Order: sequence, then structure tokens, then C-alpha cells
Amino acid sequence: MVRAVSTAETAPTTYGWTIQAEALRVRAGRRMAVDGLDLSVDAGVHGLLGPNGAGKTTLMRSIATVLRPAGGTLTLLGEKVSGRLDLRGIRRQIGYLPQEFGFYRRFTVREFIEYIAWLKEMPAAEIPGAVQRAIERVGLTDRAQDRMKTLSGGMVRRVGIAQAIVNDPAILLLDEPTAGLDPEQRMQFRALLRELGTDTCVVVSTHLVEDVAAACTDVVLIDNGRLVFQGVPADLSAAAGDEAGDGDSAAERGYSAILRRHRDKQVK
Amino acid sequence: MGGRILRIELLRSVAPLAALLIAAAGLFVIYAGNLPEASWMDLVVRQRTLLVLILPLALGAGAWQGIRERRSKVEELFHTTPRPRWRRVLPTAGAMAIAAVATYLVTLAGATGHLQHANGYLPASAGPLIAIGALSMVAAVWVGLAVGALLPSPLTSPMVVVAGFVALTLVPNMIHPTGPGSPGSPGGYLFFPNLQVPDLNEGKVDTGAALHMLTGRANLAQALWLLALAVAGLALHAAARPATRLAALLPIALGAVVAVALLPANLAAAWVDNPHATELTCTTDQPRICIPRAQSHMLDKLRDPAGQALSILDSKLPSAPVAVTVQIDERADDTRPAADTLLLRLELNASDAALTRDRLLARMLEGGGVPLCLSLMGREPTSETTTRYMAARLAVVGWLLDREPPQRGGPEGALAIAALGALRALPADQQRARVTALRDAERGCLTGDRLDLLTGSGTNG
Repeated sequence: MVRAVSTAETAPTTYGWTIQAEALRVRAGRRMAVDGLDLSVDAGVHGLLGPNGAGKTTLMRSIATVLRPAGGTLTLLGEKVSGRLDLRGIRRQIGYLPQEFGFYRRFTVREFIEYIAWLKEMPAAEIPGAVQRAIERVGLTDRAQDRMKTLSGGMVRRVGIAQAIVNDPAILLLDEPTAGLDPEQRMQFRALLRELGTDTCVVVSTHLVEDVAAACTDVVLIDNGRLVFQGVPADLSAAAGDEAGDGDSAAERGYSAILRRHRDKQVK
Repeated sequence: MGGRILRIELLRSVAPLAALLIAAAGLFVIYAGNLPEASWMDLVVRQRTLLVLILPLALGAGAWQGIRERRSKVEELFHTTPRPRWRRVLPTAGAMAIAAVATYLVTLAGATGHLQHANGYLPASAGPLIAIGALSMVAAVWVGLAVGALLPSPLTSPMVVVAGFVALTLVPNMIHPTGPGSPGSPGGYLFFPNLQVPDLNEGKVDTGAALHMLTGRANLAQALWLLALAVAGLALHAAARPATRLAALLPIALGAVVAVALLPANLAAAWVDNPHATELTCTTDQPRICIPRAQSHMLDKLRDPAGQALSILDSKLPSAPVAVTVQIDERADDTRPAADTLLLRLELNASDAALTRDRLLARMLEGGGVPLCLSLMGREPTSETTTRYMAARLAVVGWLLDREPPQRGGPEGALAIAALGALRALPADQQRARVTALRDAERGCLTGDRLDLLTGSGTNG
């Protein structure tokens, strides 16, 4: 599949990090769900781990420009996100799969992804090709003409991934992308992630530690709205050391060990 | 690309289904009416009054569509896209508007099956009525979109249908104690897109709406008011911030002010006679027939009997007419035609049964080709004066056609047979002279007993 590449895409980036958060605070309702988070990530696949309520989804939503920071700074593609900034330029380069992915039931798969591509202000001439490519990458070619309401949960999730990648985003945010996928689809998805991560900053929020270990180049672990750990998956697996801990794999044991140490430190 | 998205919305939004259901409901109500609509104008006005039913449905369809983003839980995802809300809602609003206009026009087209004469006169003044009806549908779906987006609840759609129906039915009757039908009803009734029709034919025989039209001012006031509602609805739907929403209400105030300035004080003053409908159009070939536009569809049925009547009169009477002019019976007065013109009175919506060759021929020859003088008719339709008058006129038909006088089932029939017998008993030149005398008396609406003139021992006896 060959496509036209615009000069904007090939131009060297003029910013340091694709996503950079400094002492970031983001409110979720009344609660400060992200509370003083420091994080810098670039191209690659970043697995965002953390217990329920750690602030994963709030962090994802703030990077997706749904929520505005309540404090600290969030810099996306070199632009500081604040109340004054016109977000359209950044939003054109974001792909987002929300935790709760809604869709128009009466649209066909192709129509829905086309619609999202239009909302992302892609040039009209590029849309049909980009839509087709996105559908092929998630393996839904044979269902492209089917109505969304006829799809199974796993297929809907794949449409969610397709709509997120249709504009070849510089920042791809996937909140629980593997929910509802069967083991084979998950393996295909991991392969897709690795492919995307070569030139895109992919942030994958998940509960599944093994997904992270298998597909991510980088692990980000947060708890109580703060960064607890950032490193390569091997570091996570190594973190457990000889401690006996909860978990069936080295990565899971590492995950629980890091969290336990962090919480112990906080108590002290 | 906007065009492709519009195409998708035309297929996938609620627009096609709503259009189908609303058109079906409208057609059902129109066809449920026992009698077919007499004229195009009657049908067009009927459809405008029918808005009382279909506007609330259009409002409900709009609201249902307006809730789609909430119902489908796409708000968060769409919020992260660069395209601003007002651009996003345009294809949807466009698809809904196209469907609304199509619904109105398809209903009208479908309703022509319930029209007495689809080939009848379609006045230009029907155009604004149809266009404003379609515009009101657009206003309804756009206001519905706004309400749906502002109150995204599953109950919103049924609620606005009920609220719209109540507003369009109850409020007009609350404005004035006797409703829109009374002479004193205010022009404010024109704020309702479902036409409130006053008594158009007060003191005259009812001809429905066929010979009437709404003044240009009244149409303009309605159009501007509905346009303001539509624009406000769309702006309200497209607005993303509370401040813009408030500003979106501005057109409503503006439209109301302009409409109030344009509307007449009295509803009845908004309706006027349509001079174009009663204007005569004439054939260029023989026989020469002039007919009001509102009756022009009857022309084909008139040609044969008109030619025959003119040639019979020419062969049997001196100074016979050479052309036929049709007069709308309901609007008839005793204005006498020129001697060269046979004046035929036809009911505006004469049924096909009244338009058979034989009946038309008999009607044209009555009184020697002169319409009856209304001023000579007795007060009672069965009075002796009337009976003798009618009998004399019918006897002339029998004499001209060389057969029994036509029977209309009244007491004049037997009298006409007797009169014809007496007339035929006279010498031929006498017969011709007496018929001519009767015809000339009719031409001048002279007083005097016509039966005496025809058969009596009067001056000619």
C-alpha cells in the first residue's frame, strides 16, 4: 500500500518530546485523579499500567484534549495545552480510542471510519485510501460494508482501533483496546502495535500486564495520579527480584512488587 | 467530502425513515377524507392545514436525530476531533432538511390521486403556499435537532411531538373566542404555519379555496417568520457554548418583529380573490370558447356541444351568437352577454355527470342560448313564476333540437311538453318569431311571463 506523504509529515520535529507532562494535575469530577505527574514519552509503544482508580483514563483523556489540565503543564507535539490554545492543529494528529467506544449503529464500518476521518479534517482526496488502509490493518476488509450494529464486541473494538489510526496520528491513545478481543486477535493486535510504534507515540492503557510485556517498548506505571515506574518491559519483570509476590508471570510479579514498594514508601 | 458525508447522512440518519412515515401519515389523512379535493388550490390549502399533524412529527424526528450523539455515546470521541461542532452538524441538518422538503412534496404529489381534476388549474399563488409549507417542515426538523441536542433524553422526542401538537391545535383556539373562522379573527393567526382559513365565501356560494389566494404580504410575513425559526433552530443546534446559544435565539425575536409589522390586523384581510383564476382564456380555433382559468380543464368536454349549439342557433334563429363564454355559476350575476356570445354558466366544480355532451348541449340552448335572469326567478324554487319561467326556457331547447324538452324532474317538465306542443301547432315562421322574441326578452332580462310570450295569445298571437 503506497500513499502520498505530505511535506508536513516528513519535516523534522522541532519539539523535544511528543508528550510531556510536568507536575500535571487533572481533575476527574471533584477528585484530582492525576496529581503531580511527570512523564515524557516519544515514538514507541508505551504501556500505561496501574490499579483501578490510579488515573490512567483521566491521563488518557487529558492527552486526548477531552480534559484540560487543572495544574502543571502538558505539552503535546511541542504545544503547551492551555485554555488559550486552539487545539485543532493538535487534534488533527491525535488518534483516540476511548474506554467506552460509541458508534453509529446504522452506519457501515467503512462509512463510520470515513466519518471520523472527515471529523479529523483529513484532506478529502486522501480519505478513501486511508479508510481502506485502516480497515485492512485491523482485518475487517470482509466486513467493511456491514452495518456497525451487526458486529460482535471484538469487531467493534477493531473498528475503534481503525478509526483511531485512520489519520496516521502522531499520538495514538488506546484505552483498553484489547477488551473483547479473542487470543488470536490479541496477538494480531500486538503485531499491529509494534508496527505502529516505529514512528508513532502510542499510549496503551490496559489492565493486562502480559499485553504490555509482549507488545510495548516502554512501561509506564502510575498510582494515585503519579508516576511510579517507567522503563522497558524487562525492567518490570526484573523488578520482582527474588521476592515472592502475587502474579503468574515475571511481569505481573514485578508489577505488584513495584506497587507494593511504592505504597510502603508512601506510608512511611 | 462534505457531499459524501451528506450522502451517508441521507442514508443512515433518521431522515429517510421519518420521511417515509410522515408522508404515509399525511397521505392517510388526506385519503381518509371522503370527498376528493375539488381543485389544486383546495388540495394545497388542505396540505397546509394538515401541518397540524405532520409538523409535530417532523419536530419529533428532528429531536430523535438531535439526540443521536448522546444516544450513541460518541460525544467524547467527537470532542477530540478538530472539526468544530457547527461544521459537524451541517451534513446532518442538511440531510434532515432535504428529507423534510421531500416529505412535503412527495405527500403533495401522492395526494393528487385524491384530486378531482389533476389536470385542473394550478394557480401560481399555490407556489408560495407549497414553498412555505416545505419551509415550515425544515424549521420543524431544525428546531427539533436543537431541542434533542439540548435535552438528550429518550423522552424528548415523544414529548416534543405531543407539545407541538398541543401548541398547533389548542393555542389557535385560545387566541380568539370564536377561533380563526370568525370575521374578527386577528392576523396573528398567520404565525401558525398550519393555515388558519377564515370563511372565504362569506355570503356567497361556497367555492372552497379555488378562487382565493393569500396576499403577498401575508406570505412574506409567514416566510420570514418561519425562516427565522429555522435559522434559530440550526444556530441553536450548531452552537457549542451557552453564550452562542443565547445569541442563536436572536433571529426568533427579529422574525417576530418583522412578521408583526407585515401581518394584517385581520386574518380575513390576508385572503383575497385571485383575479387570475377567474380571468377568461379563449381558444384560438373554432368553436371559439372563452373559459375562466379555474375551469379550463372542462374545455375538452365543451368543444363538441359548443360547436353544435352555435350551428343549431345559427340555422334556426336570426342574429345568433358565434362564440361561447363560460361563467362560473357560483359567481353569476345578471350581466347580459353581447348578442354574439352564448353565455354558459357552469358550476366551478361541475361533476363529470353534469358535463356529458347531451346535458351541456341542452344547457347551452336553454332560453335560446341566454342564461336565465336571476332577477326573474321567484323566491321559492317551486313557485309558479319559477316553474313557468323554467318551462318556457326548456321548451325552447326542445324546439331547437326537434325533440322532447329535457326533463329535470321538476313540475316544469310537463308544462314544457305542453308548451312545445302548442308552439309546434303554430305556423313555422310564427314559431321562429316567438322563440326569437323569448330569446330577446331573455337578453334584456325584460319582465313578463315567458310562457305567454312563447305560446300565449299575446302580441304575437
